[in-house]
Amino acid sequence: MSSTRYDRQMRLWGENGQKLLSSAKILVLDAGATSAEAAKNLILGGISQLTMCDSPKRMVEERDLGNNFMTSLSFEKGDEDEGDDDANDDALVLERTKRIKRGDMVCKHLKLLNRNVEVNFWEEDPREMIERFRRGEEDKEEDKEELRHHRLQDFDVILASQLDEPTMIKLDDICQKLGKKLLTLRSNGCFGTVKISGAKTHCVVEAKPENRKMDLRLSESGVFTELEEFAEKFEDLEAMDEQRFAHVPWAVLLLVAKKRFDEKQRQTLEDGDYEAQKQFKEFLKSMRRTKTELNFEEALENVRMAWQKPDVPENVSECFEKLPREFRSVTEEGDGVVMMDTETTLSSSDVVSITDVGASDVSTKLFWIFVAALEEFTKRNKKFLPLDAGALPDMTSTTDAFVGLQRVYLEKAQKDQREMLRIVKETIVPNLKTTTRSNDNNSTSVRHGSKIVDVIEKDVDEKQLEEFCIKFCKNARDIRFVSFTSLADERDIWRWENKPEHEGKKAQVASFLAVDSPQRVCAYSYALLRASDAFEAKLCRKAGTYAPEEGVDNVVASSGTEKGKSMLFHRMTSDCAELRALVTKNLEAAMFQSFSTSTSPTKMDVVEKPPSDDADAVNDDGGNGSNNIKAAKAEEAGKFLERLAWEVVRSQGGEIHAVASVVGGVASQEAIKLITGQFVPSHGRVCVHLADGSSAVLP
Amino acid sequence: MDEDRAKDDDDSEGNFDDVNEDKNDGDRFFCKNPTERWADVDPLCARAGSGIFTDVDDFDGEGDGFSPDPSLLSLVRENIKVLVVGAGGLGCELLKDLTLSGFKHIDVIDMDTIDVSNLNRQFLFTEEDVGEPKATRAARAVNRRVRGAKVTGHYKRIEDMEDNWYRQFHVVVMGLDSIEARRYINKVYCSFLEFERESGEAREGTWTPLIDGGTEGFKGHARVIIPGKTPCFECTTWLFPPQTTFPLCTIAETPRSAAHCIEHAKIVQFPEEYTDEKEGGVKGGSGGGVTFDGDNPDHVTWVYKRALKRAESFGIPGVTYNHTLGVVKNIVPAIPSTNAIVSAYCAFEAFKIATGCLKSMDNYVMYAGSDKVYQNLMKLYKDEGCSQCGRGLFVQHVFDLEEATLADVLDAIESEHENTFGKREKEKEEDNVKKKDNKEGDKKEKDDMMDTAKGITGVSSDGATVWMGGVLASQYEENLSKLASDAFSVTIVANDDEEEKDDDESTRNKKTVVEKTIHVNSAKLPSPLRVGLVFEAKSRTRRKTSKEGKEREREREEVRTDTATERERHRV
Repeated sequence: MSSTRYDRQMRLWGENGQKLLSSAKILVLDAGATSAEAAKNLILGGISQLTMCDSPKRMVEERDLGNNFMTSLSFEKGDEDEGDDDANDDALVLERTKRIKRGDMVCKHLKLLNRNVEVNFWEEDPREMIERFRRGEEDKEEDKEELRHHRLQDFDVILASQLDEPTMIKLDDICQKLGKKLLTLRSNGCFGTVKISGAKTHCVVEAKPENRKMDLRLSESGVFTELEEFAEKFEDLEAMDEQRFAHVPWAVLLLVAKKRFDEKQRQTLEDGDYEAQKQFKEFLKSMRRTKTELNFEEALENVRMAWQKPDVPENVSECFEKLPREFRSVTEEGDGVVMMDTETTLSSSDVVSITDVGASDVSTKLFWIFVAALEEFTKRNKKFLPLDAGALPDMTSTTDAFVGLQRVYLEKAQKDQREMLRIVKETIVPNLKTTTRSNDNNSTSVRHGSKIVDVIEKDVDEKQLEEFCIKFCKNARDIRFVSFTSLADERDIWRWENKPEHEGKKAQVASFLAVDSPQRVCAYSYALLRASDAFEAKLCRKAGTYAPEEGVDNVVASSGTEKGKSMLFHRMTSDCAELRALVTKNLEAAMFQSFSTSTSPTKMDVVEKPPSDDADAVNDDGGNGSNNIKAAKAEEAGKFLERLAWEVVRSQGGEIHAVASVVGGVASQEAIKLITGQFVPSHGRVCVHLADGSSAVLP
Repeated sequence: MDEDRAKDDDDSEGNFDDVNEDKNDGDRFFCKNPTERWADVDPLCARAGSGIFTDVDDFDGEGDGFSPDPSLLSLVRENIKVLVVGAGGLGCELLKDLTLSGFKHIDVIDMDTIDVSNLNRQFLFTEEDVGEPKATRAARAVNRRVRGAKVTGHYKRIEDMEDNWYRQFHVVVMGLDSIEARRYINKVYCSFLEFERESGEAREGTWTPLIDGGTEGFKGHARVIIPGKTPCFECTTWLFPPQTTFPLCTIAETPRSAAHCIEHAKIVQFPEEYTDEKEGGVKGGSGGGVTFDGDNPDHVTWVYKRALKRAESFGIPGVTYNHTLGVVKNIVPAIPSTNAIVSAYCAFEAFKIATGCLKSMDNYVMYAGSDKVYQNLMKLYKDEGCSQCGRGLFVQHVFDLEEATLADVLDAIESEHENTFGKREKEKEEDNVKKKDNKEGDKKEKDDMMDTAKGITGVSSDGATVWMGGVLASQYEENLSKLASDAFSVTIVANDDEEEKDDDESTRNKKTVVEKTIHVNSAKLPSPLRVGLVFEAKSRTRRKTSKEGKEREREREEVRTDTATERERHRV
């Protein structure tokens, strides 16, 4: 039943992925539309347990019924309704509904989605909860009895929605300490954004890219002798009948042809030389009997494979670079293999301990052990990675030839897997165990080293290790290491604070804000979202709305009467100006930098101007021609910001269902990637703007 | 009411009977302060835009061509009818998103019933619904949850609905998984297009916006099609890669993969060897009458076993039941998250179009989530010669309503075509010759496809075939001499108190000229073609029209004016 129910998704992440998903426990803070949508998708996917934290004081409101599908009118009779059966029932239904806690109702509806999933309602205001955890849980006096069983460390992934930036940063700190992944979600008018933070890194073995690179090992002789032997059976092409001739697999054809080509013609040409490839192509063509053999067509299309050099892809070498310190000392000493120091120039700050890269769980430790082994493997095998037999493409061939070829690749892949396992057991593990080193100045790393070994000796048995090895080798080409910026760092970047380590990211932000940037709408919208939070903190109301104590009826104010119109216009214009000022306060330099670099990178005089609330002030700067252009661009940027601010004010920061649904959808996709350890989660801030369909991933 | 209440007592989700729902307007629950419920979307309708998304330059807070109105949302709510095609993964999401965007009148059509494997994403259904029609169950579930929504489900094939049924909708949202179905809906709505004779532009009010969503695994797309204005589905069929099919000789002689063996069992062995035990040994294939059904577990098991046997004999690994199911049903992986993203984009576009509060996206957005998050907003371009949304052929000749026969019309079309397209065809031909060098195979395939697409010569009007050539020519021979105006039910009513056929200012009083769009499919034409004709009542006598035809005309006219005024009001 359950495998049929999940069939369509298991075709993506397989049984293993589903197994991980079905044991995942997820916490969602807030029970609004955005959270409810994310929760919905995860529950449908078949997680183990979902807990939703929402303030017990927050009752269902009418606008929940207009934007949250996990709410509905309640026709259930409450105790207070006794005897009221017939009187004014419509109003009664609504009133009764409004007496239900929002979290209660949302959880009830969520439960209906999938009876295999446990859904709990954690009755506490998320802000208070975060405060409580920040103070530390030992603060037992205030700790209410019923809250005690909820502990953040029990959850695998935490989602938090519609919380303001300072609160999210507090939560992020807690999650970082616990090593938990945090997803923060916001829907604000037509703009929505999702960001992963908490635990700083994520390792992916099964990235499952759409286009896997072929690794056929045709170029180096002496490395894959089994294949060469197999190809020798086909050397006498001339003796074959037409049927057999047209069904020699193209990989074999290339090998046979290249051997002949090398013997006869190519003497002086460099490997991979364009001219050599061209000549080889002609040579291959000359071998055809007719011009229609499909296997030759395929071989001609894949000529470059005959020269494909073994390489360590960028994503893999990045993993090597990030290899934690513990392994570094290991490999430097082990077997006299000296690595890293000659080829890579890494500053010591880049070399971190395994605890810093968030290696708290078994699979992450295994990941790093195998990355270390992989590096060793490439050293020993002329930069080849372990072979993935599954990457052998279909080719025109007889059944026998193709199945035979498959077997050759499979056996080689298994041989590589055995070698990897041997490296792990005979080189990496013993070296990690080495407790003393003469020049060791960091005893903690050694201690960690032996801790890592525990994984192999205690946490996993022989069979699990072998399984992991096979999985790792099959995906060796696609392993990924993703690191996430913390929310506090992100805040500092957007505040344009002067921190040397942020300069690179600030430059990226500036380019996103540039006039001709296609991501400009999203970049400014995010800046405006931060400004909206500041606005709300300052004025205790959302931009574009009237505070309750102002005594203004929102309905009248937004009605079509002249009075309403002029009131609204005034409110919108002034809020708009406030938002704009809040953005320029932090980002004026960035806005200027972004356009000055796009025109003349040397002229930085405008940037040095003291920040002012009015970007148009640059107008006065006038003088030479380039300054005029800059002034025009500054005006443009100011105008753009003003208009975008207007859209924010227009939407009153509402949680529009469609936006909530997109944000919830993106967040649940990312959560699934984090839980299954498959596919690659986004390292940056994913932004969507439904007003024009634009999007961005901010650094 | 009491009845509803009684049933609802046990559960807030309730067994609210949707028959009663029709009697009662669910909005009544919110009558005290209706805007409060829509407080999140309403400001977009009630407040002016900045022009940032509409390319309007002189922003003064007064608006950007969009006139905000506090009553706009309720106008849309009461007057706009939305069609959702498909009640599957996207359809469920769409119904949720549309009703929560404020839409009230929604029709949903789907020919499928609910399967267990749908439940991981089609959240409007539960285990109890398995085997029930998707469309009606989905409609019921949404109506219960979102009070006030009036979703009507149609357990029908899209081909079963009349053109006039399709004409009642102002916005169409497609949540489909097949290219064929998309092409069909696209064709239906393109056929409603009329073009201005002078400018060649699509005539205001004859287009219906189509919004299309699609997903596969972590990837998805959403796009907006305004037939006649922006590229239609047919303009951009290149977006969809050709399906992977295996050459029959590979399957039969040199199988190399599990899929080859499975295909062989399905295509070759099943029709020849399958016997249905339950049906008393009915044989498979065209002779026996049992055709392969991917939803029939007996059939799939049979194919799986044969494929496994075959694979073993060839030494091919990898045939599993699950893989067999995937191959024979051409299963596309699907997850709820992606559906949620794509549907929400589509629903919000529908909201933008219906209210006019923001400009439509221009015009295709894709989302890919498997390797980090990649999104892209693309602008697709119209194929000016598109057989569906292009203006097609306009026959300059004015036909006499009383005298022109079908044969006359066909002759005129052919010669007009020669004049208009002859040159273009020639250019294309030359183009093809140039490409021939490297695309030899492709071209041949394309030509083959063209030939089948051309099919038999035929003429259709208002979606019904009125004349057909080819093998049945003799039967239809006599039709050629019939009056064209009868065949196309062209009527001219020249009177003051009866309905007027054409609103055009110049003909308002005389009413002697009428335009008619028909569709012609002929071997002489490159593809099925829209043809505009003009008829004139030279004798100016009043033609008697059949009651039926007149009523249909009137209905159409009403729908069209409705749409036109709506559009006028909320035009982006």
